[in-house]
Amino acid sequence: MVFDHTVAWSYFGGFASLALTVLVIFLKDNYKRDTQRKVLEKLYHTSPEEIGNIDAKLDIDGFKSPNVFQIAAMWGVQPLFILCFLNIPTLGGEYWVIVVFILILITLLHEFYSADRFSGKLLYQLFILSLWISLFLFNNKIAKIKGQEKITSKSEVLK
Amino acid sequence: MEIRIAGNIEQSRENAATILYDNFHLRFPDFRNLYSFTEEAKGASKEKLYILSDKYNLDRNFRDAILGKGPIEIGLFKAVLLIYGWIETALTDPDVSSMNEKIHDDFIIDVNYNSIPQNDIYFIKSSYLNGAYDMQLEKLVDLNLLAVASVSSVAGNFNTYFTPLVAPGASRENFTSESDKSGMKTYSLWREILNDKHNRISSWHNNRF
Repeated sequence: MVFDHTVAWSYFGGFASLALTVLVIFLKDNYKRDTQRKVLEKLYHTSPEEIGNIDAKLDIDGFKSPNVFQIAAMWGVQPLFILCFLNIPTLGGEYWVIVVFILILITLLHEFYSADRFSGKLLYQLFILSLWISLFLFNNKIAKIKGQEKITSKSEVLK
Repeated sequence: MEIRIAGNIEQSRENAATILYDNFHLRFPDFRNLYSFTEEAKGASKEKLYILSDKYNLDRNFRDAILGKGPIEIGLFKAVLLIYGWIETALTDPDVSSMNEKIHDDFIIDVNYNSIPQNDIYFIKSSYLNGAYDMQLEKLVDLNLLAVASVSSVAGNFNTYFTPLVAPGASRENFTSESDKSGMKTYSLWREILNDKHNRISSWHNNRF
């Protein structure tokens, strides 16, 4: 299967922006955990019974060790939404407007409710991944149909 | 260790209140006095509690004993004060739901007005209290990760668990017990409680702060 070049590049751009977000958040969380670990190590000398196991204490205090897939699932819907929204003028069509409308609902639900709750769960991560892949394939298909329509309309003009 | 606040709040706020702690009886002339003590004890360090107990004319022996206490014991003592301040209005309310709302899946911050992390107490969700998790919850109490709170009010008796202000980190091996040989059940319950707490506090932080 040959992909449409414009669509493939736009999705690559979306993926790159997501990768950058994940990288920044991952490094930030790791940095926070490391600085807090140093604080706890100092405290450990004065009152060991308060700290206990340092790694477990870090988890309790909310400095969790970051998980790449969780962060990707948490921030993965917005770039996809922007991509599909920007594709409306070029792809047009009723189907595509319906897709974007559904995506608006998913984004709202994700931002207000499910991102915090389920992004750590494997099933939700797979759902976000499947959203990306299916929309990419669907986008390609529509781009191809549009391209063929353009060719036929051009040939009609020539006649 | 058990700490109790005793007294009859529903008849009148002028009634005397007592905190029973080890073998100390800390007497307050009335409930208003106790309430202002809980407000002032928010975010207080060990040394400030010492000064406060002087101000409120508490038991001298208690005042001296405070300085020798470890952080976990001080944390539990403050937890009782914080919880009292939090549920005070619900104590005289005959409606069961007002108490249930306050002591399940909610949190109290020990505000210290400094740019250092603010400690908190988090009450676990009521779905864990149906009896299926009793053994695991007991083990978590043994590890000092959870503490029990029981409240008797006009509406009835309530039991709940909360994460104390100072919870020492327990390594993975400590979660094993006789009923749970691998420790997996207890550990996953603890992870769930931590996740609930994180969700509750972060949703408050993101939406209402």
